[in-house]
Amino acid sequence: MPTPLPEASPIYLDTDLALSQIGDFDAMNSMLLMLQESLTNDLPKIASLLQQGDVPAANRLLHALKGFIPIFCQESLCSHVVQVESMSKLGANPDLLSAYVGLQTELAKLLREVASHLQAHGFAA
Amino acid sequence: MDMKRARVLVIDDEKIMNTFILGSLRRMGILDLYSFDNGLAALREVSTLKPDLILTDVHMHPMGGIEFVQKLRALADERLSKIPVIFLSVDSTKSTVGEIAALGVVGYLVKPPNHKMLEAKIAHALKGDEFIVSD
Repeated sequence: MPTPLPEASPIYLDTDLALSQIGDFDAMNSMLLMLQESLTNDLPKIASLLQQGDVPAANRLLHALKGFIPIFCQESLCSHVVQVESMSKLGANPDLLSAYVGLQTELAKLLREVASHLQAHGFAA
Repeated sequence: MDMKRARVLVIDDEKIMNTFILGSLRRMGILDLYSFDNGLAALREVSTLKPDLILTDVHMHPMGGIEFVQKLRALADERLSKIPVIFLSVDSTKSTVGEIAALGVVGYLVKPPNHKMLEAKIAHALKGDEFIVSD
């Protein structure tokens, strides 16, 4: 059986990619703090909006996420965000909430990876 | 004109993207920067700031990028109505790109913009080149 990766091993966060796009380590960490804040606020908000049937409002948040996630993340997660955001453009859909639940699990893992990176570089959790 | 002497307006309501774009511009040596989170706020200041170039998002409230550029192009002062505009958007549907191309803008880039691509597009825009779509 394969050994599970420890929690701190990043799967989705790609700091080499982020650094190449942002160009500066301190600037990257500042932007990771913004990403942490955004994910902390928006992930439960999107779930709540979808549960209430407010798909357009959920789509606006997913649309923003689709724009900035490729700055920081590997292709597989970016593709998943694109897929769920596309579904949300079509309005209410029985599969949308379950699709988002799957994505939210991955984004929550990303959030833990961001927190872990920031903590390792001297930023308060 | 020399890119480093350009005054650039950035219009985007997403904080992370706004920071990313401003950071990219600073890395190019463009330091005369102003940012707004919607088209209406930018439109109120454009005649005072007289930028050399505008980078704008499409979807914003209360005024998005398309309406902003329509109003900019309708201004009587040609120094303002002919300011080159580059759109930056997550939305790359043909209908949106077609609508944007009709506005007489000089470029369209899918977010997040690649640094070198953005730099090349800005150089073209400041030279007055034609509309080019790329991702």
